[in-house]
Amino acid sequence: MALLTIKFSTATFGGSPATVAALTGSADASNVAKIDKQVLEVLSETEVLILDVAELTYANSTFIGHLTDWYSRLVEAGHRIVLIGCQPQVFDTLNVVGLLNIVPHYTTLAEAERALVPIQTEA
Amino acid sequence: MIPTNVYFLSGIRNFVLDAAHNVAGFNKQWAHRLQSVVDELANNAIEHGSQHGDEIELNFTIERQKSITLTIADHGTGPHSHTAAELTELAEAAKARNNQPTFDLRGRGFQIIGNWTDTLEFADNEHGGISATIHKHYVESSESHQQVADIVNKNSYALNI
Repeated sequence: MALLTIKFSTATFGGSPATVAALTGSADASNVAKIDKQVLEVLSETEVLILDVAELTYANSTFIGHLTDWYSRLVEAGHRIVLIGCQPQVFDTLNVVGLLNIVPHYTTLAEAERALVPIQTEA
Repeated sequence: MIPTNVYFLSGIRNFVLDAAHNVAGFNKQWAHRLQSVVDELANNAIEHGSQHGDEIELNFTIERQKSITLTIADHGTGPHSHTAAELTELAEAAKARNNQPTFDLRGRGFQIIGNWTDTLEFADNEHGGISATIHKHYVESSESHQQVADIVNKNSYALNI
């Protein structure tokens, strides 16, 4: 069985409370349902879900289906999801199914914040 | 032959990654892609074409620095078994989406398989199930550190699981 763990922590993203979900391991049909349950529990309580996939070494279509579902639920609630730190092989898979056309993705959290959070200018 | 349990797929993936890179000579990017292709095909065979306690059959033919051919066969005992004609239609529709996203929970496996193989064919097999065969020609590697010569000394390698 492929190993997949998820660790949650809190952060701020552009001044908004955010949940960081850090995935480690390989995400496939044998383990994604368990992770999905944990993510769904925090989705309703977060404005920004930062999915840190820097330690995710494999992702198949089952995982991508759930990721798309998380994206849809958050967007419908007026919230957002950001993907951080894709390894090349995971990036390749997410890209071939078009997911990276809809989910914002950045190398680091700082880069995401610079790109997505409007600059506050003093009047 | 492997049992119809998705828990076994990580081992198959590791084998394919190793064989595609170290035996067939594909670069790491293509080895990872072929790993995904096999995972998606095997997952479909287990989830849709097999009942619990059954087996699926994987058959690889590897010609070093030429091609990989893989056939995955199920017994058609699953709850959502399709005919070869139905699967061909589904796969062609998925490939035609290219890399456009879908918001459905499912339907991306054929997008991955279709985009990362040269051919994908389905046949109704003698067990009442589906045999899915993919073929991928060797892709010239841009990696300078590729070391495959010490792994195999022969030009052709075949394995039945």
